[in-house]
Amino acid sequence: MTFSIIAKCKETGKYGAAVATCFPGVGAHSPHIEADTGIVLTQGWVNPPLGQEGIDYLKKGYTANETLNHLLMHDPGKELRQVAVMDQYGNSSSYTGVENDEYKGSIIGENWSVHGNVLEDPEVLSQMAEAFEASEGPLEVRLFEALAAGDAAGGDKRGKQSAVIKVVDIAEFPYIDFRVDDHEEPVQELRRIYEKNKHVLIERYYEWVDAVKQGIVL
Amino acid sequence: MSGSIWDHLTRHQEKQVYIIDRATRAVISNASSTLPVRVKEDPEKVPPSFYVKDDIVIYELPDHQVMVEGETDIDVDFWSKQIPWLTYLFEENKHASQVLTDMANTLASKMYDEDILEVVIQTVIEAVPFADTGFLFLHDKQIDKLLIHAAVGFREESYRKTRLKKGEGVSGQVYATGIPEVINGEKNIRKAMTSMSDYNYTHYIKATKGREFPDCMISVPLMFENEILGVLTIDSFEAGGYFTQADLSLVKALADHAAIVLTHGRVYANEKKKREEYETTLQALRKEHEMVRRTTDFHHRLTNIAARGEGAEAIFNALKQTISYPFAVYDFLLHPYFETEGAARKELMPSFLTHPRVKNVRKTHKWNQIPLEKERLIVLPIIGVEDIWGFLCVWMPEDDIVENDIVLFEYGATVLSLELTKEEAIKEAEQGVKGELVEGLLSGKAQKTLEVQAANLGLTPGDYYSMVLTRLTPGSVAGLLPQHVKWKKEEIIRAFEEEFDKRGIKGIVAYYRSYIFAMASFDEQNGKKQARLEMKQLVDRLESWHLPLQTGVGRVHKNLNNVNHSLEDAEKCMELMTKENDPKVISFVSAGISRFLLQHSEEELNLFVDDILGPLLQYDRKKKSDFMETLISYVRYDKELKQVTEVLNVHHNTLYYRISRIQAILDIDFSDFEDWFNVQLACHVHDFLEQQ
Repeated sequence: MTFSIIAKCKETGKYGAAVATCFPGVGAHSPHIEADTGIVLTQGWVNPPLGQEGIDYLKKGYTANETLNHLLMHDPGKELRQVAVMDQYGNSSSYTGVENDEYKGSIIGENWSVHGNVLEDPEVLSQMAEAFEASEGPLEVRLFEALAAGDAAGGDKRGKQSAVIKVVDIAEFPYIDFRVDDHEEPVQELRRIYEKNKHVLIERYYEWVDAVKQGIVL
Repeated sequence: MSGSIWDHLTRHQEKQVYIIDRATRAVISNASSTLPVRVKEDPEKVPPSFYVKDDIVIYELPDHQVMVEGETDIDVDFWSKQIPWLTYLFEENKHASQVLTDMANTLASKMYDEDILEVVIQTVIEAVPFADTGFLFLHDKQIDKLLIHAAVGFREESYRKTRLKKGEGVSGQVYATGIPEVINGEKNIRKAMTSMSDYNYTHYIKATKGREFPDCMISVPLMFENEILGVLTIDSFEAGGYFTQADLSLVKALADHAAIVLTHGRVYANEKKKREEYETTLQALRKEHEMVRRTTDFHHRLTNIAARGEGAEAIFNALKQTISYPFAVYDFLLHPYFETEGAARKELMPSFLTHPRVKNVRKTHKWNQIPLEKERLIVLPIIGVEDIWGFLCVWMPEDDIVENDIVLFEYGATVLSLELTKEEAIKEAEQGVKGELVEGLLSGKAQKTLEVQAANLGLTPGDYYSMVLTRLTPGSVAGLLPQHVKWKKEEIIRAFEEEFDKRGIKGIVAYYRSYIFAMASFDEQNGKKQARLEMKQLVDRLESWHLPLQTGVGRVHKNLNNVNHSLEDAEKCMELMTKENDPKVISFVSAGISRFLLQHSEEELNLFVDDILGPLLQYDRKKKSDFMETLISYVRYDKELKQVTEVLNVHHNTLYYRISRIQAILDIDFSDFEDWFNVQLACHVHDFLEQQ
């Protein structure tokens, strides 16, 4: 019922994820990202507690594989879910439960992975992967490119409703965290919100963080 | 050294000069001090008050001794006049050198300390005369501003908030241009700082502890390989200080040194961070490698086992060597197929098959975990041809970090599934061959072909043969799925095969229509008697089985071609089985009268019963009496009055009366041997037909 991407920027070390689905308010459930730690993404029949549990496990230094296995071990409904994990090394690991509807699957690349279920076409995932690999610039822009490519390739076969993009840099200081909870074209709307508002805090992110930490005015 | 005092010299050269204090014998000049010294113009002219020793010209002055390496014609008066100045210059030079040396030593010894920046600023302030306060700015690339990282003589809570842009204030200007500045005079300094933003200016003022502006300041860039790392600014608030160009040179030299130290510190910190990251990555890589290695080794071992056709047992052993936890393989009826010693002490919960997570395993064909009181049970499906064949169950401690082992379990279960599927297919093929042979025997197929088939199955046509037919009791299969019924039948086949093996009986066990047949063969050389004895022992054993079976056993016949006769015997026994309540096994040789009854049609038997007992049956029907019941008991207990009265719960007089009435109705005398035999036989046949 969803297509998504998780990635780590090799240059800056930022983690980011973007998800689109035919379900309202996907951003409330997933993804879970923490700076200097990694990403845990659950979709299909989402099990939200897996997100924090996975992040806590990653913080202990476990790899994506170990964390994924840990999550699956303790999730009796694992076959209903799609789970993807990225660790501090940029390695991804993902699992697609057999009870997700077709087309379902995932592709893992260097410092990124794409995943989806109830997809219109297997091309959705390969298009997302190609778009991400071919794109340049900040991580958030590359995530948008991938999400747009998935959307253009058919996306969720049931339709479109919500989308989310999250990128983290400095712990506890949100970098990019935009959501579209209910819209006819959620992916396009998400990009529009980003473009309109990026100058507010995103482009002066470090100044803002410095100002907050020192108790000074930006 | 250079200066106007040497201008009058017509010809001079750099000479190593030593000036020694006579009183202390200390060398005033630096060990490496050189001076431009006028060289001797006239070799014949010998200056007074000096002498030459080992090419060194030595001047003996009242308080000092001066030594010049090589020739010179400077006289002693020159040295007398210049010594005070030279002494002062040497002292200054020595001070600066000493400061630089001390700072180098200090910074070198504290290079990796966390407070190295405080050490730098403190050292510089101590080295420069009149300096009492200062800032050390570093450039923050992310926000492109100068931040104060260390300071002496200012309030931290205020100076920490300073964020200077390039060109802002004196320090910002020095950062922007890379040119050091020395400013003397409070007014000049105040003026230079007007370019600061209100915000930074306010925080600067708040940071000062006494006066707002110093008397003098020096600001130098911290530069390393053309990159400006930051700015070092020192001030003098006290005693009307004044910074000279010499002070600026000293601070500049100190700043250069500090820049190297800071760069080194950054490189070191970066390298340390990388090393820690590398170490973490290495550990993670080692763990992953170990997992991959285990998985790969296991994969290779199982692949080799499968390739060599070593069977399920070898797979279990490979699993046992790899997995340290107790585990067992159960078939779908939860009979253990293989179990480790640890697993033999474990028990599956009674409701295992209906446990929601096991149901989930059956539904998804994927593993799941059941939390137990002190451990967890991992249940992995073993997939058969049509459905789940059984389960691989692993008991693990709850607190053990073994998540990665699930990959091994999954692979083990998969290979096991393939192996068991293969074995199942082989068994089915064998069953097919055996079934074909039996069908052939019964249908009178060409003898030659049958003999070849029999020989292929290890049978000798001339031996003695007996056929056993068996089936599950109707009650034991009620409500079971066809797959489960099949499994139960397979279990019975295995039990027969094991029994034959144990007894050294050659034979074949297979499906035959709705039955399972077991054909036993006995060596003809041991004779028929021995064959019968062995069959008798087998029947005794079958009777002791606790399986829900009905079994018919045919007689022993010579030659494979006659085995169909034994099969007919067994079939008749099976037919009897529906008429007998209890016996699990009926052997044709011990079937008694029933075997004769089976030879006649039901109609024939009914005629016989009617002929002998007809009047009594009609009487009972008409009068609603129960004389038939009395007669059957009378026959069963062979006229024993005591037993019959007890069974019927009647007085003996009543029994006498009833027997008398029965004889009258049947017009028969029970004391007549022939009449009594007919009545006995008719009662048996009546019972037989009733049960049918």
